[in-house]
Amino acid sequence: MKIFKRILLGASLGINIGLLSAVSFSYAYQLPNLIASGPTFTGHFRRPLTALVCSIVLWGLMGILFALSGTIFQNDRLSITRRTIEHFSLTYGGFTILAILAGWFPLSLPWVAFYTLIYLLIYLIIWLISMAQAKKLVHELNKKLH
Amino acid sequence: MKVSTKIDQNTQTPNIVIFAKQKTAEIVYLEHEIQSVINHSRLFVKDQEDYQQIELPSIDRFYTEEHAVYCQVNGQRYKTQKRIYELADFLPENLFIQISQSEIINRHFIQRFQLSKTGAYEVILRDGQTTFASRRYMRRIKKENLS
Repeated sequence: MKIFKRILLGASLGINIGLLSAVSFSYAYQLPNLIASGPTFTGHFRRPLTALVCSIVLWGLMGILFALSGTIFQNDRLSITRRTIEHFSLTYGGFTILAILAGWFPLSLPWVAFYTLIYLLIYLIIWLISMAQAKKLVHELNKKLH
Repeated sequence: MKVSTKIDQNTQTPNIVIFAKQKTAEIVYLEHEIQSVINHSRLFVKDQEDYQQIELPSIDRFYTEEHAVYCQVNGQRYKTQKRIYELADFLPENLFIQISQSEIINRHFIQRFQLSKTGAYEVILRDGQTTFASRRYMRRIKKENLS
C-alpha cells in the first residue's frame, strides 16, 4: 500500500511539473496554443491532443521513477557509495530513456555526453556532501563516546 | 522493615519473600520495585540446555544471527529468548546503545565509530571485531544516548 501511494504521488508530481513547464515553454516561445514538447516530438503525432496525452504519460512515468528511486536512499544499511551508484544507475538509465522519448533533447553524441557529464557531476556532489556529513557525524559520536 | 538473607543449601535460585501481616499498598509497591530491580539488572540466557542469569553490565553486545538473538559475554555467546526491540526497551539507556535494527552494544565495549572508504558506518569493538551501524540509529545516538 505504501508503494502504491508513492507511485500515485510520484505520477501526480511528475505530471504537474511537466504540465507547468510545457505551459511556460509555450508562453516563452509565444505559441498560440499549449504544445506539450518540442517539434521533433509533436511531429510524430497527427493530432496535438495525442502528443499531449503521450507527454502526460511520460511525465507521469518520470515522476514514478524518481519517487521509487527515493526508496534506495531509505535503505540505510547500504554504504553511501553503493546507494549513490544504485540511485544513479536507476535514474540515469530510466530518465535518459524517458527524456529521449519525450523529445527533450536531440539524440546526438555531444548532447548525450554533455548531459551525462552534468548528471555525473550532480551525483558526485551529492556523494561528496553525504560523505562529509557522515564523517562529521562519526566524529561527533566519537567525541561524545570518550 | 528488616531486610535479611537466609542461607539454605537446598535452594536452587535465590528467592525473595516478604513476610507481612497483610498485603498493604506499601508491600505491593515494594514487591513491584524489587521485581523491577531484578528485571533490570539480570538477564536469563540459554547456555546449551540450561538457563543462566547474567549481570547486565557484563554483557558486551546483543546481535541477531539467522533470526536468533545472542548475547556476548567475555567472548562466549548465549542465546536469549528476547527480541532486539524488547531488549531495546528493557536495557538501561546509559549502559547500552542500539546501533542498528539487529544489534545493541554495551557502550563500554565500543572502541570507536569509523566511516569506511565506501561510506558505511563501522563500529570497532574492544575485542577487535568490526560491525556495522545504520545511519538512522547513528542519528538517534547523537540525539539521545550520549548527550
